[in-house]
Formats: sequence, C-alpha cells, structure tokens
Amino acid sequence: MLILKNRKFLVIFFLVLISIFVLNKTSLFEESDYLEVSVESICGEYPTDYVKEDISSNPNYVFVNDPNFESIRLLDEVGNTVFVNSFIECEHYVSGGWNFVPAINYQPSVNDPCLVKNNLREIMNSEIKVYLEDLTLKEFVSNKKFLCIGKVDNIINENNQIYYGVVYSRSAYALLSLVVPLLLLLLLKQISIRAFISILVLSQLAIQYFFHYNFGLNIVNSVSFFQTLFFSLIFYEMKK
Amino acid sequence: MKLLNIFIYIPFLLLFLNYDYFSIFALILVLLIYFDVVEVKLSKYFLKYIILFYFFLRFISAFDSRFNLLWRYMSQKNYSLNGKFIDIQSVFWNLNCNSQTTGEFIVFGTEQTLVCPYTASYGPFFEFVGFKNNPSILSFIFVFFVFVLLYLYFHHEIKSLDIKNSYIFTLIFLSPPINFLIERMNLDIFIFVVVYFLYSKVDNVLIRNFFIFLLATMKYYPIFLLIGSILFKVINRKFNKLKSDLFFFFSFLIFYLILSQNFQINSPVRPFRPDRTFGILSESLNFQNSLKFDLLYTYMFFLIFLIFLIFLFKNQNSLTNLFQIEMVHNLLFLFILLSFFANYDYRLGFLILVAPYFIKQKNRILFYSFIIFIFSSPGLMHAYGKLFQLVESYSFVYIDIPFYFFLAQLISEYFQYISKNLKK
Repeated sequence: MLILKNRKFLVIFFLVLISIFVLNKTSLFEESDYLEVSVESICGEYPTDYVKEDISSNPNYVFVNDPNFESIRLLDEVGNTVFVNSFIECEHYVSGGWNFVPAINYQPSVNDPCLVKNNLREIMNSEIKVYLEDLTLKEFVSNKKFLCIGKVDNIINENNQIYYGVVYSRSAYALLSLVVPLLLLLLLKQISIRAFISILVLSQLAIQYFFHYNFGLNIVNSVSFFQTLFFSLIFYEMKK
Repeated sequence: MKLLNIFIYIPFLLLFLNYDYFSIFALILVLLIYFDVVEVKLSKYFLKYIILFYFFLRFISAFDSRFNLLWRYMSQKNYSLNGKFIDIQSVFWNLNCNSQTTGEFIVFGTEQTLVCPYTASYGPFFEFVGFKNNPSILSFIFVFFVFVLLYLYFHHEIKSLDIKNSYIFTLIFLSPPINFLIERMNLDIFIFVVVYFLYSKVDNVLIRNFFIFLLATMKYYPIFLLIGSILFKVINRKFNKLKSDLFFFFSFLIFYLILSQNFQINSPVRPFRPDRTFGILSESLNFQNSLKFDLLYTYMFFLIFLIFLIFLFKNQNSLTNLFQIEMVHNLLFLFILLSFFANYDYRLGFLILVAPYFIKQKNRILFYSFIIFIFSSPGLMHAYGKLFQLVESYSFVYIDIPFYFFLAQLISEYFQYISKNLKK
C-alpha cells in the first residue's frame, strides 16, 4: 500500500485524527442554556426617533418607564435576571451583555430565512431533545435549502418537554456519502489511487462536517470512515 | 519508523480512556501492521496483561458504582448503559420467575424494576426451566467464570500465533462486537464459549450434538451449527457419520413443532437500528423505518446486490481453505445463515473463534472485509445524548458495504469449496 507506506501521510493522518478528537472533546464544554441574541430580537425594532444616549458615563442617569413598552425580563450568560421597562433601558442592558434569552423561549419566525435561524450547536445541552426534520432530495437542492442543515426549524412543547426540530436530509446524506464515492470509483482509471484515497477521505470529512459536526454530532463517524477506507482498499486491490 | 511503532500502544490507552476512538485507531494499526509498515515490538505477556487488566476493570467498574464513569468510557456511546451486564441479569430473573409467581427485582446498576411473570424472550428453555436465585449475585459469578474461560481461550490462541498476528488478534479480541457483548453479557457469550470448548475439547459427537441441541433450546440459532455439520459431512462424503447430526436436528424440529402447537413460545426478535445490528433483514428494516421503503422490495434489492457481489468475486477468489476445518465451516455457515436474518452486532462475537484463521489466510479482500466489518459493528455515528438527545437515533441509515462484501466473499469461497470437493 503506497499511501500507507508514506510516513508523512501517516503522521499527518494521525495528527488530524488527534485534533478531531480534541476538538470533539472541547465542544463538550460549549453547552449553554441561553441563546445570545440581538437588541432587536429582544427589545423590538428601534423607534424611528431613537437617539442613543451616553448612559454609561452618566452615573445619575435614571431610566424612565415607558407605559407603551411591555416589561421584558433579560438574562445574562449565567442566568441572572433583570426587568426593563423602556426601549432605552432594554437597549442599554442588552448592549451591555444582558443579551441572552432562555433557549426554550426561542421561537424562530416562520418567515425567517434559514440563514438566520439558530444553529443547534449554539443552544445544545444534555437536556435538549432533538428530532430531525427530513428534507427530500428535491427540497434539499431547491431554494438553497441545503444551507439550513443543522438549523433549528421548529420548537414543540409536549408534556413540558421541549423538542427542537432540526433540518436534516437523510437522502442527501446517503447520496453524498455513498453514491458519490461510488461514482468516483468509476473514474478510477483516470485518477491515481493516492489521489482517489485523498479525495475520499477529504470528502468524507467535509460531508461529516456539513451534516453532523456542523450541528454538534460526531465528526468521527466511524461508519462513514470505514466505508471510505474499505472502498479504497478494495479498488486498490482490484487495480493491482 | 520508530515514531510509528509507538502508535501500537494507542489503542490500549483508548480502550480504557475512551472506547469511541478505539476502533478507528485499532483498524488503521491492523492495516499498517498487515502491510508491514509498522513493526510490533512487544511481548506476548504484555498482550495477556492487557486482556487481564481489561477484564479486571470491567469487573471492578461493574461491581463498584464509584467506577461508573470508567464503565461508560469503556463502551461506545451508542450502546453504553449504566446497567451492568444487564442481559444476563434478566436471564437469571427469568429463571427466578419460572420458579415463583410473584416478586420484583431492581436491575443492578439501574433503577429499572423487573416483576414476575417475566420472560427474556429467548428460546423454550427459558419458558420451562426455573430456580430461585439472586440475579445480581449469580450474574457476577457467571461473569467471573466467563472471563476466566475467555482468558483461557485467548491464552490458548496466541500461543500458536507469532507476535504480529497475536497483536492483531488481541485488537480483534477487544473489537466492538466483543466489547458490546461483554458490556451486555448477553447469553450469546455463553453459547460461543461452550461452542468453542465443544469443538476443541469434545471428541464425542453425541455429547457435542446433545449440548448444541440444548443451546438451540436457549436461543434457536445454534441449530444452524447442526445443519452446518450435516452439510460438512455430506460435502466430504462422510455419510456414515451423519446419524447423530440428523437425529439431533430432527429431534429439535419435532420438539419445536410440538412446543409451538401446544404452547405460546417466543419468536426470535428482529432487531434493527443501523448502528448496532447486522443482517439483511436488519438492513431492510432500517430502510423501512428511516426512509419508509417497502420491506420486501428492500430485502430483495439487498439480495440482488449480494448475488451481484458473489458473481463479481466468483472468478477472482483465491481459495483460502477456510471451510476445510469443521469448526470453522460450521461457524461460517452459521454466520452465512444469520446474515439473512436480523441480529444485534454482539452476535458477531463468535467470529473471534475463526479470527485466527482469517488473520493467517491470503485472500486480501476477504481480510479487508472481515476486519473492517468487525471494527465497524457496532459503528459509532451520532452524538448519543452527551450534547443533546437525538430523538430519532434511527434516522441515519446506511448500507453496510463491508458486510455485503464479507458475506459475498464467504459464499463465493463456500461455493468453490463445494465444487472442488464434489469434483474429487
């Protein structure tokens, strides 16, 4: 096996695997119960006559309650709360780091383009239950829907348990991870085995990243990895 | 070269620190060693100590809840549970319930309570045989004896292998299906150990077949060993030695027919879930559950795919002579038949009994298929609740290509073996 006898390739390969291992581990500490969101998402749209005042440098500044403003409960990143009663007060606190909302209260708008919907990775914790909203192959390619993979598309409250619906496409994953490598194999005569193995390994990593790691699943999907390796070995032998 | 040689210790570290990554590292090392890129420079004693240490840690971490984390880390996330050897506990509770009508038992290591009447959904043996026991205590005694027998088997096998093959065999001995089997301590492990000692130590065919008959009453599938034995003798024209096999086989058939007509006996379960099952039926069930494919059509598709592969390799095979040894023949025949059904991956544990033969044989494609199939069953796919709980762990579906290649290679080899013997 030419590629396996290349020491540089092997060292790099092991280093990549170790890096993935470490990356996967650190992601365990990224758990958060709160979502970081923008001023407008929490306080509403900026009033047309809004003028930002320099409140921070004025210790005597007193926030005046706005009777037209519905009181909002704000959270910081560790879950401390404060109530604000005007847009100015809300904007001030949110800009100062009180820009978190409990993850379970997050309701993405139906009309949101998926690009601004939350990535599951940002809200995940061990209590969250996730289900997959399957896109067909046609949906996957239409209207750039493939950009929605791993995004929270729906939230359901059932018996006090919140379920997050996350966009996924089983058929697209199956196609890209299995059928595409098979098609590549048909081109085997035009490419060298070394290039072929490299393409397969890299394409696997990319697919895993896009479909899984992108929203918090394992990047070291041993099944895909083994299948890729298997194809490479078999076709190497057949070519011989 | 020296740097690469250090890597041979990594799988053993991962075995105890995080089994999730064990299979990838182990598989790559097996291939590197197979191609002589990495040299194995260690003593067989080291391998024996590793196995002893593994059994010791498994036992201790099961026994003492303070080592729960270690217990969990020594298993892949997709099947790891807090419960300790839960399958064998349920078997002993089943036997308990057969001797008493009421009672309850908390499965050791879990908060799950089992109450009588209870059935483990195995063969007719567990419908009729029963005795009072403490399932937790009896499970640990059982596990201890199983570990002793497994170690004796390991010790015996590596004696006849060189250091390179001993290392590969050790990694296969610690591979996912066996680790899964040990974690659950499914009754299958008892069947495999008994089958090994029956074939290697018992020369009396009558006694051997009687015990296989008994095992078949516990979990049906060992009866395939008797069918394999009959075929082996027919292929080798040893017709005068068929009597005992035929007697026990037909006795079992009659026994089963009588039981099924007079009692409500358990049918074998049909497990599915891509990350922990194998078999064409399991594969079809996965596609049915995940993509709503028709079960029958999917099954037919996989069958055709298998036949295509058999034809693909028909003329490319080098005959390995694997089927010339009766134990290997019967076990591989068992595997071929089981492959058409649905099984949990831990049932692949019995392939450890034929692993030394696969390591030594010269058919490379068969070796790749075997080794990759073993190390990817069960295969790790998802996050499994550490980061969030995926409601549908069934949602990922894939075609287990190494499985089909392995099966096709075996069937192809088997046909060659039959045709070669018939031409004699």
